[in-house]
Amino acid sequence: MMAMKRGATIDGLEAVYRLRFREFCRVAAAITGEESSGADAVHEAFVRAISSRDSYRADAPLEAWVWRIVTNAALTRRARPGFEDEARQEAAVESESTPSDELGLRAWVKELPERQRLAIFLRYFSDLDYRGIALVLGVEVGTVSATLSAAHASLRKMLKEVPR
Amino acid sequence: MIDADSLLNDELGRVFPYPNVQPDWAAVLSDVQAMQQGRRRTGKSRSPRRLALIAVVVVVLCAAGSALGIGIAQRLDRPAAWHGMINDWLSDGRIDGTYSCGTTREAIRQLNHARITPAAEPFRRYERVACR
Repeated sequence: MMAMKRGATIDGLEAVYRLRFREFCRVAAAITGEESSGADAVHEAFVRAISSRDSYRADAPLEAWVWRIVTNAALTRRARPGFEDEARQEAAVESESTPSDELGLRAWVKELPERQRLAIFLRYFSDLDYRGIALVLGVEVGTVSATLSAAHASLRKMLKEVPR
Repeated sequence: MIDADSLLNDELGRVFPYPNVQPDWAAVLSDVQAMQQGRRRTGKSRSPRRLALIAVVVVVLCAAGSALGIGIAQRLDRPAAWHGMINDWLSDGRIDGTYSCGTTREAIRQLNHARITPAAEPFRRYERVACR
């Protein structure tokens, strides 16, 4: 969607922002581990996307390009020194409203290798197809398929091992 | 066998709900503007187009100096005020110094003569204040 010959327009980016804001925030929050930093990452990502919009090439969908910037912003935010402590404090505040998780999916996701975790979030929280996910992760489509298969196998193993 | 895909489709969204945040496009644009202004101040975002413009201005200024019959060495000792004003603008795209109405008008005349239109607006704005 929103493919252009060269460079993205601010109108195009605004359309993607308004269209996918909730999904961007959900994935970013899942990566960083808490809501507010996820929203901050999305904000940062769009500032970056507008500033570097000339570097967008229409050989990929604009939305996939933006997803890549959003996931990178969230990963960068999570990697900042002192982030773990801040996130722990935020998580403590948010814990009252955290949904129940009888299957232990949160812990399972947390233990996944980085690429599997990102693939899972993009597969289930964005409307991207495998090609789109491949563009975001910078891998081949076949690798996305293999990554998700490995994650599914890991989930099945976890569910068999953990007594419920 | 557990259908992991279906299970994740059903459960993952519940475990990771949508954050309760509202979009704020105006804030994004505001931060972009602030960032761009910051870059202009530090002069880090000089594009090739801007560098080309600077080169043209420098050539024009040298030509103007020669046309007036003033030696380059003499100009380096005592640069014309309008010249200094244009250099001020060239450094970061803003006019930070204080210049008289006459200097401003001479700078505009020189710029018009050289047909350097991107500079027109900041100099006109400055003129409106300096020549009140």
